[in-house]
Amino acid sequence: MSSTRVISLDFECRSPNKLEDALEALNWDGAQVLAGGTDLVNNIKINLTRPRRLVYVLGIPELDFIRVEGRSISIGAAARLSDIEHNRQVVSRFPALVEAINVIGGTQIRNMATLVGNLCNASPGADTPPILLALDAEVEICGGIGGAGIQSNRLPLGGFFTGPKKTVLKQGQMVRSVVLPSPPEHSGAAFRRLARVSLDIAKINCAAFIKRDGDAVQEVRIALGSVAPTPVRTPTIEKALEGRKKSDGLFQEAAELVEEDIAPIDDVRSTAEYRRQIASLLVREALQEAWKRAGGK
Amino acid sequence: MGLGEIFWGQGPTIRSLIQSDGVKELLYTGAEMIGWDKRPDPKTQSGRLRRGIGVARGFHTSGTGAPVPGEVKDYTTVQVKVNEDGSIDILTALMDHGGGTLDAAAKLVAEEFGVPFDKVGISPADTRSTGYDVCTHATRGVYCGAGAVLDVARDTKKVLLDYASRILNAPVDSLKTRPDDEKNQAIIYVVGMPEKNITIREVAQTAMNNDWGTAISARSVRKVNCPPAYTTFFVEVEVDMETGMVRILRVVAGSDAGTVINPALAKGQLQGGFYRGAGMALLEDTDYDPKTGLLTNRGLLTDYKMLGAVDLPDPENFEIFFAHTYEPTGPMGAKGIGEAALNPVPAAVAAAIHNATGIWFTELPILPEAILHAFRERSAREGKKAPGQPQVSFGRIGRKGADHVEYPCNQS
Repeated sequence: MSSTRVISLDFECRSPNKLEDALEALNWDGAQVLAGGTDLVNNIKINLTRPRRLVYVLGIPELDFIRVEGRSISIGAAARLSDIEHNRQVVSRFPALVEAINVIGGTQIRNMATLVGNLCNASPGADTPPILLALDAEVEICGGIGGAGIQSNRLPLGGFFTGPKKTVLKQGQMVRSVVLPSPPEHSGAAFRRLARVSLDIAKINCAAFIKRDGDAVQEVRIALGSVAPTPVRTPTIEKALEGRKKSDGLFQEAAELVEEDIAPIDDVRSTAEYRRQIASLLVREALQEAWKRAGGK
Repeated sequence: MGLGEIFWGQGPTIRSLIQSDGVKELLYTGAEMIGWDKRPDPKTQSGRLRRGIGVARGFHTSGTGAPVPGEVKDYTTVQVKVNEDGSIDILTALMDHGGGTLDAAAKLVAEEFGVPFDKVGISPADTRSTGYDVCTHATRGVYCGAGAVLDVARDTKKVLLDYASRILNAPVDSLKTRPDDEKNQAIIYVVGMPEKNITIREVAQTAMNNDWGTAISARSVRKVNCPPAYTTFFVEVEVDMETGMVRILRVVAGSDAGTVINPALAKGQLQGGFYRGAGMALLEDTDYDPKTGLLTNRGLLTDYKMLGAVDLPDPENFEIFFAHTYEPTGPMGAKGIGEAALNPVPAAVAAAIHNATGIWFTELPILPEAILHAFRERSAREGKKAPGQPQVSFGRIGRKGADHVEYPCNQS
């Protein structure tokens, strides 16, 4: 058993106000980013992680942004979930993302937690990765200091997660922002989830994006959480749907293929059996809702 | 088991003669309030969301008093005194867990003397200044604890009336007390000659000035009865046949607590009891890892989920009523309520789920995992195609579904 009142760990804390300084501080064995701390602090308390240095990034003004850049929206590492869910641009362009953010924790948690933090914590059951995968988001990873200056590159979110609580990030790197391409016309997205109680991590969650061409599915992306070691896309269903004309049983039929794309386990929140049963239901519902939002009948 | 029969409260010696019984009233009134006659038939229900109404009744002993000394200690020690300003102080180790036990004690004393409620004080207590109290458990707070306070208050009242008898020159038996709103005091008066009266403040002052002493008494009181407090819960649920999720839509809770001393707080106990019982029925568990022997939630509330306000029925859909009973052995007719407010809740929820789905679940908690598993087994038995995917490994949480009992649908 572990105490939740005491952090029995020696670590140092840095609070830079420039990204450059943050990256410098992170380039050190045992250094970790501290943003809202809603996952990290809990993990430290129960000895899941033992950082030797925390680099606090919410005090870095250049990371605290939600801005339109051309045809995409970019959300900085210091933007809190509550800022994002109330941002007009986000609300009007990405209602399904707002729905996913709304179910995370309570108001206090969303006032502290960040979207980038939700990704970097890499929980297989996190609520934002499925919708961000469905929306084809990218993460902007930066690192490298010294003479070379800050180096950054963009990576599709699908390549970011490598396992439960694991990402591609290396020591000295951090995610600067999440970039969301603006949804095209005749498209829609939806988010669904089930949890033990309303204030809980998901037993299973699911998001879908559809671009419609008349009465046919032109483009589709589906992702699920809590059904595999990482949030996953569903290539089998997507392949089965692309180019197909919407018919009454189409989404249900396609959703039943979900078994091919998931590998759920038993854990404290639910069972593999239940997750398998429910996955196709959530996929079907998310597809139906996304289709409706894309203007389809 | 009803009036005139022997109630086994807790173990061989803790028994009581049943002298108040509101069960019939609880069942009939509650059935009418929930619309029992119109409850659905599981055989004819179809569609994804199905509703069901269930009922369960429960009881609990009011404390562990007994006609003979028993294997459970049960007594409360109290001191009650009348002050020279006409106020009254209670000193006891009896503890209030938030159910209003001490509030009830003060109310009973105020009623007995006719003193305004705000003139009854509960003294801070510690082990140096108080005699023994067994503790607030076994639904004994009002019946045994506040009951002891009332018994000792009556001793004190005898002393006070004796002083008043000397002042008014009237025998004690002719004296009564009543509240006087204008004077904001309790009045002692001679029955039949109401103009002959005196405030208890004047009595206490006169007694002090004449060196008669303080109207005070202290002793331990052990109840020789343990009457059953009864409750009935009617619950309406909605079951999602595709996810196994259960939503509680409506509750009608009835309680036979004898005379209800604190109606608002007694209602609160029924709501609180339902809340805990609903968690027990649908969610809460302490699961151990069979390999390590450790709690799977690691002892952290992060993974011990409890229902939140939004998971419970709207307070407008939570109706409460009380039976019109009087317990002759209780303080002014009161019995207990605490544990009785919890006991039948899981059974009522399970019965409602049965009414909605046709399946009895006999192991708690009734998780969505267990519900879907049971649906699947039923479909397999009936040779129908179960919704979703073929059955795979059967998980730790899901095993609870294996214990469900199914009754044939044609059973009436």
